[in-house]
Amino acid sequence: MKLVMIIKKECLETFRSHRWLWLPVFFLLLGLMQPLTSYFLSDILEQFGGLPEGAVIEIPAPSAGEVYGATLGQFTQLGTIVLVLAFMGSISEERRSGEVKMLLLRPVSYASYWFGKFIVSSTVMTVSFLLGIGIALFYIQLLFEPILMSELLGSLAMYWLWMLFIIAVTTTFSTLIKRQTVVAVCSLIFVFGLQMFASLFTSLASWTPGALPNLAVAMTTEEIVLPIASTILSIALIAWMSILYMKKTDWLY
Amino acid sequence: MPDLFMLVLPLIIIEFILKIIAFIDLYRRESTSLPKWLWALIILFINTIGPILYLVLGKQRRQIT
Repeated sequence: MKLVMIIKKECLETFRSHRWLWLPVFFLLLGLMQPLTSYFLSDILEQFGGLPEGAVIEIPAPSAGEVYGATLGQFTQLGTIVLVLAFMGSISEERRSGEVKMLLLRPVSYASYWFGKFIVSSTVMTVSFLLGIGIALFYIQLLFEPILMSELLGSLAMYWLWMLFIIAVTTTFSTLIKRQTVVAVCSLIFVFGLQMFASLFTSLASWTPGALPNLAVAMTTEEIVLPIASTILSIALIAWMSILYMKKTDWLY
Repeated sequence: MPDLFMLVLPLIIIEFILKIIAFIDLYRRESTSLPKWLWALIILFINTIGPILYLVLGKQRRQIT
């Protein structure tokens, strides 16, 4: 099994680069901070806001759903950046250093190489995401009120798919471009662009992958089939494209 | 209302673990992309982002030809 070999090797690589450590930790912190700041917002403003003496502010306590949405919002901004930074070099760095030549001397197909990378990256992402959202939900039910699991599952699945899409985009750019920084910039522009497009033209872009995070925040179950289908299709498409690109060009050199 | 200290405790523990691991890695590594003392300052004084920055960018790039 060539794929298993690649996965094992890549797992070791993610351990060595401490990605198994800092990515989950970062998501944990993100998921922890948001409910806390939402809960203590009025106290924080009073302490550090520099408000004049005697100023009275009434901040209505946000609902549990709003805090959950805000947490996902944090994931969409900082989480995306961190995911892209973590996996920008997954292929391009090995290609730049020449490691990939030694690896692909053995009879490993480009497809299993690409998918091995993609699967390991997605696993790290999934664990981090589950940890982050898990601790966020724990704090939400502690400080606010519990969210019903039935409402949550669809939203979580949609958000997970969106993050899978981010990983696929990053891995693809990592295949196409040798320089890590360019990979990061391209992936970030692409992902944020899609999302911006979806939130600017809500009705026009309701079927694009970029609509997924907004749907997940809204916790709706309406009109979700098209964006989900288009996301899965685009992941398959860019995977196929990058493998084709590796085959058709002098990729190793 | 839960106690504030207990709420923030996980945050502190996570932060602490992150710093320790970054320092162990810094101590063991032969050469880093920036001077070692600079990384030590970054890890120590910039919370959360500092150790993560080190773990991402601290490694010296290697070349196999």
